[in-house]
Amino acid sequence: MPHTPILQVRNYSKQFYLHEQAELVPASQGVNFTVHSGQLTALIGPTGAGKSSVLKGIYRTYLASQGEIIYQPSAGHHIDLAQADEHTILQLRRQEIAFVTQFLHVLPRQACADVVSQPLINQGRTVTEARAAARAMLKALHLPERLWGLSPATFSGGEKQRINLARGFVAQPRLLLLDEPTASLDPATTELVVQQIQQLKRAGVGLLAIFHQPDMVARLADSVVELQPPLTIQSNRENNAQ
Amino acid sequence: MNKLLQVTGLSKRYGKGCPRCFECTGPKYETNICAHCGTLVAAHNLSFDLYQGEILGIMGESGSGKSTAVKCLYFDETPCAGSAIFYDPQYHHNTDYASKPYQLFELNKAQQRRLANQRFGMVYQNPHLGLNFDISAGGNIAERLLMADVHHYADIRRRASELLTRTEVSPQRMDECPKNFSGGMQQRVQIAKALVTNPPLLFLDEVTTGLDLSVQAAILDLILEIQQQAKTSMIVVTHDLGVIRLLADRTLVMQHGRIIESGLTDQILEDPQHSYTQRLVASAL
Repeated sequence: MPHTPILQVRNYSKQFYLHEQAELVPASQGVNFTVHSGQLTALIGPTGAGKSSVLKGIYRTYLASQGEIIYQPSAGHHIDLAQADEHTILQLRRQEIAFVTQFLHVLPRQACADVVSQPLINQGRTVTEARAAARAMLKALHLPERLWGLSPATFSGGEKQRINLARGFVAQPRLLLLDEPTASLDPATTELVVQQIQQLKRAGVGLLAIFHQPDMVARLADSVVELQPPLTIQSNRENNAQ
Repeated sequence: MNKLLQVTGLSKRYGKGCPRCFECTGPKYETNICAHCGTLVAAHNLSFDLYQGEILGIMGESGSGKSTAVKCLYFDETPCAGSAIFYDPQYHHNTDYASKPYQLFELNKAQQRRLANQRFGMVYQNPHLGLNFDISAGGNIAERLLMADVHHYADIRRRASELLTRTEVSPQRMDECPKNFSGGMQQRVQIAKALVTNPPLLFLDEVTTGLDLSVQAAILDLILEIQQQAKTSMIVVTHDLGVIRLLADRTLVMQHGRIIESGLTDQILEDPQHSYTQRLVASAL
């Protein structure tokens, strides 16, 4: 399968203006990279380098301050995610762009099988189909079957993260954003996640993932983007140190 | 995805009004009372749209004009300027024709009543506004069906009982008056009444405000379930960030009668641009 570019980030920058403090807080500065279908681009760099801000900018949880985020959808012309109207973004989130955040945010009263089947239902699959696929994915990630009917609210960090990943993996999006996908997992579960990511790559999914472990980058990444903290933050730190 | 509603330049004033009402009110002046004539500018120049199956949140403090917006759309109030086009999806079935557009504020009273009754649903914060407390729960629901020309008694009873079951009110209590019900149950009866004509558009005005937390949660679950099953579009007015986070795909933030910010709900909550929204989000978390 040829690896075609599906996402091009050009000169993305993000600053927050905090009105109360009248302060401009930089998060990401001048970020450039490309994500190809069937490949994984790894975002690395120290804490505060703006890695999560890049993912949130792509998902439009953050409004980009500068730059372009050019996405090639499955049908039609490319779209600048930084500028696209909200309905287009919502449609893409339902159909082709998924984001596995670091922490699971779900309804406190929903069973995990329902949480995981939701993306498939959003894509238009029947509830029966979606439930079956969700169960298969929970099984693949070795989440004990007795937990499937329970709400993830009381689960451990590692269990929650598995639900979170299962929800991102199950719908085979075109573009999958992963924020430290293996951070809270034990080595055995990490292996399962690695296998799933490799399978998604073979299926043509383009992935953009934040990793802190060099061995994950070595095993999974086809290209690596290293981010540095924005300059103003660095100079602030130096000032504080003096 | 098709557009269901387009609101453009909606304004509502209470008072005699003067030419300077709009230039001396709003967030910049921190008031919605005109300094020259004392008119209350409840809402000015509101523009937004809503797509089928979408939930739009309108957030803001008391007196920001968020309820005024939905009251105008449900014909409870008459706006003083602006337009609203409702693209009725009923005319979309199995055809390639565009949905039938209604210019809401240009319709006569009878046409407005018909739309409000059959194509829109409204759930008020105060159940007294949505329900007649002196007639039975079933009778309240039947009222909307009768207006929609359903006259067969057995059909009406069956439909009312279906809706009460769906909103988790025991159909055995169908013949009791809502004045004997708890606050949460009154809201459920209001929701049942709003849904009985299968409207594609539902307005929810602070529906969980003042209820116990557990009752709030159950009502919100019910609303989400309805949205999932029937793909009902909704406009949810609330001052509660939790409700916005849970229900709304997109959110408008209002202050002093103006929309000061709008965007995807997660963006409004995580990357608010306006100083007022930043304060609001910071005080909630």
